[in-house]
Amino acid sequence: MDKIVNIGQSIHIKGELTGNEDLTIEGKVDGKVLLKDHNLTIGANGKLVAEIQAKTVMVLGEVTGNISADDKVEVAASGTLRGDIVAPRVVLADGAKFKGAIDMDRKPAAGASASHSSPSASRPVMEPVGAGSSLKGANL
Amino acid sequence: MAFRSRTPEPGPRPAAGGASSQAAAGHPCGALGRAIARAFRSGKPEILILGPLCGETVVYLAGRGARVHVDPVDMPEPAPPRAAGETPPPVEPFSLDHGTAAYDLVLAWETLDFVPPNRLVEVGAEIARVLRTGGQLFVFAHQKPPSDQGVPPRYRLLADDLIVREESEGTPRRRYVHPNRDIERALAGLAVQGIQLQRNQMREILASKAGVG
Repeated sequence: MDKIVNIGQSIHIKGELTGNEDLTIEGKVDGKVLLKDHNLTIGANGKLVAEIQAKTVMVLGEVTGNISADDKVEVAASGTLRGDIVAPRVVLADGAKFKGAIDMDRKPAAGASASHSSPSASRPVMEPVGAGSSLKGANL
Repeated sequence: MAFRSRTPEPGPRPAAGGASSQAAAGHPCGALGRAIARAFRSGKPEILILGPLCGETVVYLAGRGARVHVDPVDMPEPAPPRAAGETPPPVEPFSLDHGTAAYDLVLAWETLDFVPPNRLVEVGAEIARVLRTGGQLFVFAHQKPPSDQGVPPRYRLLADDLIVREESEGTPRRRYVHPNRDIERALAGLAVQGIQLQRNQMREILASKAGVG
């Protein structure tokens, strides 16, 4: 199993964060997070003010900014998101705090603020609320 | 975990607003079904949901191709009474943080029930502002609420015309009962298509923004 890198609670990053492995953020990030083909988890203590692009994004903490995912975005009951989501699969748990827009059209990640395109032929997939993921891995 | 069925269950459907509305069968709502069907005629409608988040409702509409906006908007406090001969105290104007003429459909569920009577016109004008010409507003409003305090509920869409009302968490707020004429006055920028009183004393209100376009 791949190791998941964890940005710890005391870490504060300003700027652009890119990578080719799965990442869990428990600290603070201001800027941009680009994890092409990989999974990003914003832990319960994580606070991001950032544009995010990844394969899947799981929000347990707080995010201010738009999220674009190639596969799925999930906001857990403990999560807070102020921003737009573009992803073919979206899960918003009851109790989650969310203000923004959701677009589930399949299209290239051209930024989460993209809009007004015609619906795609392929239908998005709905998932049951509460489908969880686990946090594994070692701290830096 | 099993996927929730989107198909209405056969058998009796409990009314919205009551405890029994938690049942999976849902509550039929023809006006809502018509509003959603009309919104989707535009291909990719812009839909605004005012009130508590119900993830399944958002995903249901987004999954059909809409761009769905969620705003857990805070309703305004009552304007303080104006004393004769005195300058009224300043009141922060109510505004929706959304563009003008941005939406094809606004789902306000029971939102208006939590608007003080002396701010109702202001809220109605803001909703009218964010609707496009031809856009629609769908509202539920209690005629006889179970109590004068409450928390805005979530509404779960099981199908275009089938909903389940669910209690949500939050600090209880004062709930108001607005007469039909006051609601119609508040929605002066819209053409009220109909106000239907249901058996459970819940009013179903559908309005649209008329005009050229």
